[in-house]
Amino acid sequence: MSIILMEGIVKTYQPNNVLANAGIDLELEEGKIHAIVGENGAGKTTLMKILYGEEQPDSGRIFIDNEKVNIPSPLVANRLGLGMVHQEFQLFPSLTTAQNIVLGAEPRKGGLFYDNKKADEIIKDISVKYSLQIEPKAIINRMTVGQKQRVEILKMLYRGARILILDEPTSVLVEQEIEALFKTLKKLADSGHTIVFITHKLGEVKTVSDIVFIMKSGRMVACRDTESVTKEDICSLMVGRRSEFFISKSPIQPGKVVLTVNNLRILEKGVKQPVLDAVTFQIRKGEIFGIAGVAGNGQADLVEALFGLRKISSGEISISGKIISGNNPKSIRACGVAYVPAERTARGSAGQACLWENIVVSNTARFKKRLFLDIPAIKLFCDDKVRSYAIKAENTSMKANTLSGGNLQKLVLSREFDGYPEFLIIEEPTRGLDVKSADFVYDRILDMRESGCAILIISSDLNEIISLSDFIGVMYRGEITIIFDNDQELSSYEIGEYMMGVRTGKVKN
Amino acid sequence: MSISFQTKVWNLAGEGQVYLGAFMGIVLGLQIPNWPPVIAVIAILVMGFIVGSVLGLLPAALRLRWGVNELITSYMASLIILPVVNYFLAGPMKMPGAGINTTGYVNKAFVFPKILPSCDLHLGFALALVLVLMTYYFLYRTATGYSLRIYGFNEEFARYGGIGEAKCVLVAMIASGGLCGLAGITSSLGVFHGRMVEFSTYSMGWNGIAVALIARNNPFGVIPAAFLFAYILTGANLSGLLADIPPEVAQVVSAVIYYLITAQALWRIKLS
Ligand SMILES: Nc1ncnc2c1ncn2[C@@H]1O[C@H](COP(=O)(O)OP(=O)(O)O)[C@@H](O)[C@H]1O
Ligand SMILES: [Mg+2]
Repeated sequence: MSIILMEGIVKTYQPNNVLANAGIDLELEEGKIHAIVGENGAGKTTLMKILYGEEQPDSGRIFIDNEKVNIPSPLVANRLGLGMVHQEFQLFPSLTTAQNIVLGAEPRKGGLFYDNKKADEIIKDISVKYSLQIEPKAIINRMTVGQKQRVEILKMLYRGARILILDEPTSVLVEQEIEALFKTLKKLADSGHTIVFITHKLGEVKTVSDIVFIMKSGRMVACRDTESVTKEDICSLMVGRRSEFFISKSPIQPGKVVLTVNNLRILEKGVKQPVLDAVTFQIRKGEIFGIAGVAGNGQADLVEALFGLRKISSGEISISGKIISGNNPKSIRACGVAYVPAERTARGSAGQACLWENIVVSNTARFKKRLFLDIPAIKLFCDDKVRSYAIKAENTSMKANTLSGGNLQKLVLSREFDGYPEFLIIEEPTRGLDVKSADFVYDRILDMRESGCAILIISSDLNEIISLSDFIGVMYRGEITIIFDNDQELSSYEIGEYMMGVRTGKVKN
Repeated sequence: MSISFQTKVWNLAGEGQVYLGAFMGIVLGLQIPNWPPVIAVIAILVMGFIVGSVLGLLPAALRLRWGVNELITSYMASLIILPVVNYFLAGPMKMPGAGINTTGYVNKAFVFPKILPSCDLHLGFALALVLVLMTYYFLYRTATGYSLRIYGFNEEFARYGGIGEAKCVLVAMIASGGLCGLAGITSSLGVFHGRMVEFSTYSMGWNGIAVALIARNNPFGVIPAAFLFAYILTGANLSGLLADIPPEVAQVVSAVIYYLITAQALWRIKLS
């Protein structure tokens, strides 16, 4: 039975006049799990925001239980039984789980005061009811991403959601957490909840969904029973072609050692647990070393230490025999190190600066004429990169914050890959990118490997690590607990166990 | 001001820099009455620039060394310098016999000639235009100006890209402080006929901040913004003189205008 019907939804974003939804119909069935897939920018998030009352459509109608409804705000959506878990969590980091969940509908003592005890009890009850384990008194900012997501889901259930919308819920989770999430979703569906989730991973569509919607450039191109389609079918509907799922790599030609990290340690004042502990590894020419791990286990700190953005407590980092630890990013760049950060907007670019200003940041010396910058030459250089990386941009003087995620990532790549660095650090190479852009990024990374670059990849997408890397290290609590040689049959489940700290390769002394 | 604000290094010492620049420039001028005028004027201007930039250097150094917020230190530096200068104006440097606290006059040949008779418009105005042009070229054409702007856009991106924080903070504070000092001495050499009068440049530094904000930190925008601001101020004074409007009313009016304009600027920042 259809519980939600969206009809002819049109949405244009001002001021750029982007047609995000071009007349979309969507029907959700009660108690079923629906997956929405589509390239980046296809309009999936927009459609869900409209359903949740966060955006207003230019035209179109929405029916719930065959009754036409108006959803002017998320508050109204909540009242109608809709709940949404966003890509970015909307939690107060310094409050407890319970406080976050009941926020807006708090239990009160004497009609006036917040009742902590009662709130904790309510949370315990609903967490048992939906078998979503959660500690009511835990503070949000000490939680893993998976736990935070659980809090978000519970928050929506507490508000009485019968229809749960999740925007790319798995993109931030590790294998085990994804499995747990899917179990939860299935249980919720069994108890009559209707689920819609957005994803980029077709494997997930097959494992968990009943119905799959495929969107492309603001249109709904297909709606299928999941059982009746293969991954390849979905993929070709999505991008209009069959995408290579398995990255074909040439066997490695082990070269000389480029990066040596020896006994690297970072301690923080007053904290017993080291941020990084005795991290030791090497990367050779033409080799990709992938680091897997749950976010927050020291990967980001390691990268910052390698690039001179963070002070180390002891240990040594060297590039082709030259010690670089203790240097600043500028001189580390001068040693042939480049870095593609996970935070493309916060670290990898300056949104208010234009494209050419973004592309020249590490390269000003080359375009300096005495004190002045040779701006025409920089623009030519930028034009060239825009073309060779197929960046969708009108001109090189447009602001970087007008680029979509995929194009911004290409811009960052084109800058960092320029001049074939000796050693490349790449964090989350394809996070948030669509299949096509991701393919492009993989191709370029493999090009760099072919050309003899030593590459360190850090990603929360385990499949990505497995398909790209020659060697895989797992980080857990600031240590590299094991290093796998990726030529054997390695299961993601095994790596996952190291990531969760269920197994450790080393014995601590 | 535009320079420091574009770098998002907050120079709030403008007031003190203007005052000190005006004072020290004149003090130097008094020591060298017999120098050839052109060289003497250049020396005086350089003096104004240097003392202004030194006053900017202090908060910059504190921020770099100990991470002290320059917003506060530069403001305090400014607060301290005003009474110190006033002490000298009232005491050691006071022109004997004068009814107000002021220094003596420098050699007449050093004073900026007026461009138009009968009003205060002096050669310093031309100097200001040249400086605006230079500031623009500095910010938008030179490698250092580029670094400063990038640093202002996104500190973390700048550091990651290999732009040194120290350089940006120092250059921004030195240039901005120096230009403030220069503004002070220019006004002493022009409007005040070559002497430094107590309170003479009061609130010029603050007005500079206001103007920079109105102009959205664009060096060229500074010109119309400065005129707008000057217009409001002079209009306020005049209406105080001619009609029976107390000066406070005029101040309230200008404050409201200023408030509305900057509020809009902040609103934009929040939106983007
Ligand atoms: N707030 C917004 N303002 C302007 N354009 C937007 C906004 N949100 C999304 N868009 C644009 O609308 C299109 C669809 O975006 P979105 O719904 O986020 O896609 P998806 O979630 O499928 O990746 C994109 O081209 C995007 O750039
Ligand atoms: Mg989206």
